[in-house]
Amino acid sequence: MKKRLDRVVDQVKRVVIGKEPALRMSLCCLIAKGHLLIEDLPGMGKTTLARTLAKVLGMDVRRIQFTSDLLPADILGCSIFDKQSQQFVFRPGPIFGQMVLADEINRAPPKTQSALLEAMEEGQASIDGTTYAMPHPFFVIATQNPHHLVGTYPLPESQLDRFLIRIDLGFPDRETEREMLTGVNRRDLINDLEPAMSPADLSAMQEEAAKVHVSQALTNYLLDLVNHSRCMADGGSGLSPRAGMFLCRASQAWAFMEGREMVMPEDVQAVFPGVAIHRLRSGTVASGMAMVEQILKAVPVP
Amino acid sequence: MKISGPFHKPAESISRGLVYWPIASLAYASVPFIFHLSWRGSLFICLLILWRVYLEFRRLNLPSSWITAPLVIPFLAILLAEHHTIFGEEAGTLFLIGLLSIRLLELHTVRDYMITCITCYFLVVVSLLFAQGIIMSVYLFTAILLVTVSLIHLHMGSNLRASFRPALRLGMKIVVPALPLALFAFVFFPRFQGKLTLEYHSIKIGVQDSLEAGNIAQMKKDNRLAFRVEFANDQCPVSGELYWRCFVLNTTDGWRWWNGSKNRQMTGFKERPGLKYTQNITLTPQVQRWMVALDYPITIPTGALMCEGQILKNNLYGASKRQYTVVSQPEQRPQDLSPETQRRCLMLPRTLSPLVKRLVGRWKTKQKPPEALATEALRFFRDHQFIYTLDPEPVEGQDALVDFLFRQRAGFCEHYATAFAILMRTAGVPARIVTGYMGGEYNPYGRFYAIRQDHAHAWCEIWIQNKGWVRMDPTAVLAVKNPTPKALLHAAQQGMSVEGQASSLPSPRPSLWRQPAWWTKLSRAPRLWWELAEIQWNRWVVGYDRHSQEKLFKHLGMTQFRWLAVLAAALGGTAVSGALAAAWLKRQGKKADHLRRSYETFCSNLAAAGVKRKKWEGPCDFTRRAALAFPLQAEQIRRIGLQYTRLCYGTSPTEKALVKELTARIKKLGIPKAPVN
Repeated sequence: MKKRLDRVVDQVKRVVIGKEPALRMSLCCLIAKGHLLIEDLPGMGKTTLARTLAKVLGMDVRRIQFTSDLLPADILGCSIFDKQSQQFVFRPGPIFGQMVLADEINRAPPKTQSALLEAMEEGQASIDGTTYAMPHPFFVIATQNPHHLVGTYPLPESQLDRFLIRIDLGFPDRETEREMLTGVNRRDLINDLEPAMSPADLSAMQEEAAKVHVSQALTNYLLDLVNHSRCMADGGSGLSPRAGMFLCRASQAWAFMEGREMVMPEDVQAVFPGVAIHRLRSGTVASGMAMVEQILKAVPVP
Repeated sequence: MKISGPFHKPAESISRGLVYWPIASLAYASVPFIFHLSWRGSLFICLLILWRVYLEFRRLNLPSSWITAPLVIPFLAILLAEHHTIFGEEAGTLFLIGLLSIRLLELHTVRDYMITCITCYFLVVVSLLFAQGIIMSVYLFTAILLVTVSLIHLHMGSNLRASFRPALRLGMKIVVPALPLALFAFVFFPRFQGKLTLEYHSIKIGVQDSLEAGNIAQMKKDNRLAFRVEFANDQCPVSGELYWRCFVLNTTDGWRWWNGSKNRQMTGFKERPGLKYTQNITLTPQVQRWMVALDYPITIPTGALMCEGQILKNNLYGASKRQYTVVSQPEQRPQDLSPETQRRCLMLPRTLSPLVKRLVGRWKTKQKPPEALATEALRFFRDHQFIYTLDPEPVEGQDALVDFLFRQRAGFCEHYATAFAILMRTAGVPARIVTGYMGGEYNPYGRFYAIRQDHAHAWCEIWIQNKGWVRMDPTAVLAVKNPTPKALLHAAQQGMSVEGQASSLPSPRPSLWRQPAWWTKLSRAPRLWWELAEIQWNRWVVGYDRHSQEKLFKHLGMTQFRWLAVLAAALGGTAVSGALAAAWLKRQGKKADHLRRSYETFCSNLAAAGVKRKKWEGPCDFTRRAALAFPLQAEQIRRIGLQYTRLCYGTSPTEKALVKELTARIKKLGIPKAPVN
């Protein structure tokens, strides 16, 4: 399993250079059956990362570019009257894909956002009174621009809470950027990539990851972390129980990726920023990061 | 059992059903005080408590403070009407109980609950001011346990039925280990005599130095122990000789008697051949400042004076002496008759009725000796069917004597003694009244006589030339079967215990409270044992004062000590042991189990070597870092880390053997050495 995962990472690394931590985090999110939120400035390679991942994992990828006039039906699909059969026929929208890339999700109005988010949470979509199940695996990678940019509808906390992990990519270093400038076009590279894994493999991995042992001591540690976030003076309302569950799942996935049979505090610490920052921050990412660090340093490891 | 502390949420309201605990605590803690409160106050408190229970039971809302606050007024009124103050130990405590009961109606939050419980602790301690018996100590223990269990319940949650047993067990775990500590503190903590000691609060008991109608009747209904006597060499007098004299009263105004003459000290008694009783007398702490002795004392204990009438008086002001030895000889009758005493002992009340004079005049037809006159008087009592009763119809005022002698002809020792003394005086024989105790119950288990308040008695002494003051107990003749003059005189002098036979005497009003004979018989042995236990308790526990403590310290070899040093040591010891206990508890909380402990050893060893684990650092990160720092022991450290993580976070249950192995490995590693560059 680990070998296969390493191969995935290697493949992706060919296209997305110098972003291994973010890449591992995204994989972890995938294995934990969660959805990923990538948040960064335009042009940092968010879409590239998502597309590469989809390609390497052998999933079919749908891309929705969110704009301010996008409507729910544009995502979910709609029923169209078929003249020949004299019936309404449902034409599924782009959401019905194994991997959905929701680009610039915060450019769409809340109504449209919520259509996507319901599908993410429930794994199903209700259109015209009929419920359609999402394909399996179903994985949403949403990208969003930082809030302060013009023309964005910031996602409310309740919806942010549905993303398991949030990552940012950040500027590449000088050498990486040089390579990007001189090397082959990244988009072309993606097309050349071979899938390293099948969706069935991914499902198996997800099953395996869920079986990773979580000991009593570790549960205590998780609870301490969550509790501490709730007791903090400026932590808002702290981490929700769902966040706690996600944290546990993500830690399991991380331990699985590390090839362990049990979750260690280090695994929790590795995924904690990704899970917690977007749930905790009151203002900027920087303040969220500071708070995450504060929590991690305050809670003793058993 | 995990207890989550609600300490940080004092304002949170407590769950339903939990309220019964503080209510029960308060009710139980106030039990000893109920006896000090009138029925009105008790009823008030009971109603408040019942009200609160009802509200809880019916799940009703608590009344607003507009209703509860004015409740203070009626309680205050009751208290002021009875005690005239709200300060002082008794009134103050009752006031506190009242306020607490009212406060129950405002008991909403965790904070209120805790305040109630902690005040209950205070109440329990305060009850020691009122009683210090054996039962009291048992009560004290149970009360503290109950309050502790209440507090535990608060912290455990609301599932009452499920949590009672564990709460009780935990409460026991908390309270029982405190017992030896309390015992140690009791024995060794410095004691201070004087203002810091407890005032014995109980109502003073004992014979009063004057005799008034009903004095003794009241004492007769009180069966508390007055004093106890051990006879040296087990040489006990016969029961008829057990007259314990206390006061001699020689002046009267008709119905009230007191000692009118100045206290003249008497000395120079010599032991004469004949019967001799050496008594070790221990007065109960509550008795008033007098000393008792068998008829007639001839030695004077230290700190006592012998006064006219051969009675003992305590001459120490302030410190009453409780234990003394006195020697008595029944043949050594008082021989003193000063002119002043003679005058007083012949004085008649101004309002003496001519009927009495006429009665005595009939006996005095010839010049009779005093004994013959006394016999006449005794025969008068015996022949006219006088009745012994503890509650005669109240007779008062000037005609009281006439009423008693000619109409009612019922009464008890007090009536007979006064009537007899006046009759004798009318006949020209000097007579006086002696008050004290008669009889006593022998306790074969402790080999002592217990003399209770209901042994109180009053009798007469008449002056007979060449004999001195001769005891005449007119009450005794009531039981004489065959009233010959000789038998009457003998009975009066040797005291047949009428009181003991009171139940067999005719009584105008049957008493309801008298116990059946079989019960008296059956309960005798347990009662005597209990009495012995109580006496020992009073002697060793209640009576453990600074003096006894000093003695104990000397016995233990601490001859050179200063009280200030002992106090400093005690306080210091308390502080140090408290700090140690706190540190231990803190450590205990941290050290969950062996595994944790050995891992902590590992960490502290590495810290000593220079690699300190940050508290948030996981075991993998830490061992990796440590392995890098100590390349020589890297393998060992890594293995320890691996094993620990497996045990702590792995799937396999933590087995003792594995933990032991890890501990051994950690021990073997010791403090690693950094490589020398």
